[in-house]
Amino acid sequence: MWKAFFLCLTFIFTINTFAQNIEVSLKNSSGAELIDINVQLLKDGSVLDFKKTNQQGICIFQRAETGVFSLKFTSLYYKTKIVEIDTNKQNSFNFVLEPQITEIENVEIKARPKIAFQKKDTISFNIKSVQDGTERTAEDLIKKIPGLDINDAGKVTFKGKQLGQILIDGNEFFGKNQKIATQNISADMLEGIDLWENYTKINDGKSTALNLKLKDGYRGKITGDVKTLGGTNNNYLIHSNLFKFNKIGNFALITDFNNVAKDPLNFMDFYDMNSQDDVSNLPSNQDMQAPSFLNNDGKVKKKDNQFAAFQYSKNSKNFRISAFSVLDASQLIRQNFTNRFIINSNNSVINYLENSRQDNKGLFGTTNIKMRQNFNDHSFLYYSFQYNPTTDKASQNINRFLNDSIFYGISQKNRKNVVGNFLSWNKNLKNNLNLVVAANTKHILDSENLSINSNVNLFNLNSDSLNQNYKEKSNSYGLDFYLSNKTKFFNYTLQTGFSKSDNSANLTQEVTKNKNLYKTFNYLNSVLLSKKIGRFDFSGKLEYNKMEINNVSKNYLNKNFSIHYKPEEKIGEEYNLEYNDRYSPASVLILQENPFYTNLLGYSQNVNIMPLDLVNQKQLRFTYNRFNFTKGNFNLLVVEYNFSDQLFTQNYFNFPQYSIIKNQIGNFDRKYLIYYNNNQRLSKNYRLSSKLTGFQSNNKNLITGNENRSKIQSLKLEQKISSTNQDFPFQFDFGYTYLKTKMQQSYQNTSASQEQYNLLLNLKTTINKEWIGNLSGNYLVQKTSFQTRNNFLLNGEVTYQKIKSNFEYNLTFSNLLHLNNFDYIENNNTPLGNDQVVISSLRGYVIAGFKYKFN
Amino acid sequence: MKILNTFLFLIFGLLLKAQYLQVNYSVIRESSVSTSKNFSPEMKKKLLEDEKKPAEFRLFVAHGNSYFTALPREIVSNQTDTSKGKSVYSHIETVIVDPVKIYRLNGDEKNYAYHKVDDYEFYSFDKLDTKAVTYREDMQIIENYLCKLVEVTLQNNQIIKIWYTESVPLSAGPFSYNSFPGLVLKIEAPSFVMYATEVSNKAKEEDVKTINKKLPVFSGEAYRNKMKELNDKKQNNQNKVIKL
Repeated sequence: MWKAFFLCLTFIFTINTFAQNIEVSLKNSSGAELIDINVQLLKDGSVLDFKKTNQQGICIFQRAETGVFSLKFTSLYYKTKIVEIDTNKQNSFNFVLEPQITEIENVEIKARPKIAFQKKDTISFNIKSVQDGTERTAEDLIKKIPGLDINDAGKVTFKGKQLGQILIDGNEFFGKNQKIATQNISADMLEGIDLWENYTKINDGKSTALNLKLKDGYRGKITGDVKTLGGTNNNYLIHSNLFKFNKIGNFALITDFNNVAKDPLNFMDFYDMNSQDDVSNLPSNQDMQAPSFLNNDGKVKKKDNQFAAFQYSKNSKNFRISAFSVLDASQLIRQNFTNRFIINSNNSVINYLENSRQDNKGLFGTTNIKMRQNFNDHSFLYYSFQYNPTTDKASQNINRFLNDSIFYGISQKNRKNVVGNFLSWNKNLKNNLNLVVAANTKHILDSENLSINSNVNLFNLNSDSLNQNYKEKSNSYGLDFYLSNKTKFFNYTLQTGFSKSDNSANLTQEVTKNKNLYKTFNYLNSVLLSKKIGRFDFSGKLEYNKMEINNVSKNYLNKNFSIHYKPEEKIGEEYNLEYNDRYSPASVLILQENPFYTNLLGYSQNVNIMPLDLVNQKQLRFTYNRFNFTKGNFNLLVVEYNFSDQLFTQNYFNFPQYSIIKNQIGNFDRKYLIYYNNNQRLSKNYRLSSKLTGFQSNNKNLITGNENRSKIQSLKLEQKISSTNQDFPFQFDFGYTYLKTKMQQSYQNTSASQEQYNLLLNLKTTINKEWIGNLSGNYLVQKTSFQTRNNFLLNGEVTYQKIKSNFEYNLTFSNLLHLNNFDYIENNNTPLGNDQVVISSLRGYVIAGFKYKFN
Repeated sequence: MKILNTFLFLIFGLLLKAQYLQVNYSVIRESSVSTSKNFSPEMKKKLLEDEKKPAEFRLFVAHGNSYFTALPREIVSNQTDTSKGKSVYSHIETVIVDPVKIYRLNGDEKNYAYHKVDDYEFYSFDKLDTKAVTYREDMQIIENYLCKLVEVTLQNNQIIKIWYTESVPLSAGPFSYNSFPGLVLKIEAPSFVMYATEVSNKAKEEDVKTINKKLPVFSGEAYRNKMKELNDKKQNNQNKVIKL
């Protein structure tokens, strides 16, 4: 015991002996001591400590280490001087300063606290500069920050680019399901928001991330809320989110039950949850179709959701884990009335009316676990697991009124299970040289049952009923090696990999059966080089693939080049030019040579596409952005050109009762996109936001064997003026949206167009920090070639929470003036026909209730 | 030569007196007193509106001395009249905010804060009680000034971000945030953001107030004991009034 005590004392004594005093004495040229002089102790340009000289003109620094330091002397009355000192040789230093007066200028500081600050790869947003108390969720705050936005799919974008992750205090939160974070973390919980441009993911990959920083009061205890609302036409919304952020990890539990079409998940979330971004070289030959019940485009008659999600994440020095599970059940009803004009296979125009109602029910789940264990030898193991089961049931009743009334009853059931595993070992060999060995597996089982009944013969089959069963099974295995290094001349990453994939497809229709087997081997070698020259960043990647399907092989080269230019560090201005050239094989479904029937009352069939026929897509993209951090002024311009001369196309044969789509090799596809976004401070209290989106698509397909050029043009212009007066209790947004879409088919020269004008006035208020209200009025004009509709839409939400009370009372209303019914109209022109559609949509509702906050 | 040096030093000494720094600061605060349960809803409303207006502060520096003070604000009060029979009873609520007066003296690292409890006046002194002071590489330009960031971690783990400029090489700033290698132009704290709105040389000699040496000075335990004693006395006096 005593021995240990003495050892401990000796240790402390030894430490103390190493701490040294550095004494600095300052005088003027007359030898008088200089008092009140600022003295900074620096090492490699960074400030370590600061002192002022005392009445004797002396200051003393204490440092544990010895070595070469710098001293910087500043004063209003003496010339700034920087000297180097070596404390290995001496501890006491004397210097003489020359007089020089720094005159204090009169400066009026007009700039108020900045909206954002940048330090290296992090941009910190000062949320206090945009907050006015009317924000309820993190989403409300994010939308107010210039440069940040939330797109239609609920993803956060910065300067037009979708962000990779949302983090809570640096921890991953529900993977890529950003909406869960932005809509469940309340604005009150946030202390600040950081944008990390080079976030290191749990698997060491790089991504952009938005880190939501919590206030201290929300850590270490259960926080969150439970909300219950009910109202007109048995509408209800029950939502809860509970969090515990503490040392043993971050927990989140979110549930939602509603029948007012408030979707906790959308189809983009589905794609993100199914994409295994860890697998780098598996060819993407899986058709990933989102379940129909997730496809809520805002034009559904009814949508019920039952949703539960659980998340756990923990970061410690050597171990990181992030796991979440999501279960979503939904019911959806769509009802359309269509007046369709089709070009018949004998070139005559046929017109019929169709009344279609679709009832979808489905279940979607995901479990995702990511773990990382660090070792002392600068290596780590990373493992990820994903399991995604999906069930999608749809029943559809279609009545077509041609000469007679034709009835179709369609029942469809899809089941899909995806299981993925990924294991990698990452080792830092020396300095910047890293080696990664990665292995992955992915198993997909996809089955679909389709049953169609009618009062007429179906598809010329001499039968008024049809049953089809389709099963697709895919087992994939991959092994990859990566070697990356940062050298004086350039940075590089070399990759070599191998993957094997077995795909089988069984198609059974009544008594006919067809089975296809595809054994795929893919060998991949790639080199990525990047180099910074001045303010330019150059990057290029070449990816050589040798793909073998059923003993036939083909080579192809994917290419990617980019140039990035940043003129000056202090101004957030960037130019980026990127070129992509990629090949991808056909999906197993496109290769089906037997008719594959669908619920669209038609079938598709492969004509001449072989398994190794590849689609080649090229993209040229230019981006310019400028962000003034003080005023928050933001400009973004994106110009994109996508083109392909090697692709798959369709030959359409249209009949009054059904359509045939023949898949074949094609050779022309062009897409042009221009996007401009400007957010400008007009004065201290007003901001103007403008967005322009232009899109044009030209492609070549066939109708009844004849060449048909399809053209789609779309123009969307949005402008909104918003008040930002934080001293005033009322805020407003006033603006408009104009949308015009035109579709044309060269065959028989048909076209359709539609226009939409929307005038918006949004009033927001916060009173005594107790009342928050927003009232949104939209005057919507829908104009098509067959009809014009004018509607006034009134939405709003009022909440009241007494200060320091845990209860918040809520009144929400949507489309208040259309509580019985509401319709959208569309005019579409596709190779299937020219459709004039009336879509019966969700009627308005009023719901009220309360929210209990745990804090 | 020595005579020339002495002459130059004297001339230079005269010039020294010509620098009277004045810095105006504004503060955006989070609400504090308005959330108190002791006030009526009307009073809370008035306080909340008052808190939304930026508070104004002034810093004066000369000869190594500094004086930091808050500009007087309109007193917030609320009167509720209730009538019982022929009598009208008035309930008056008001908030009296202690004046902010912080002094720093040449050659002394301490900050002296002025207090007045009832009619008893005194000073307390302290140094910024920090766990860690970390100088960062972050920079930002505030008007003409290049500012550097220093992060101060307080004993309660709160992190205060302080932006100072070496262009005005004076170790001066608001409250006790005045021991950095330049004039402090902005402070970002969890509950407030304070930012300079004007830097000038227009202060006058009499603006740089100094402490009244006749008043007692307390610190640490002695200061806490004194405050307790004064508060207890105040409480007793209030109780006596109620008994009467």
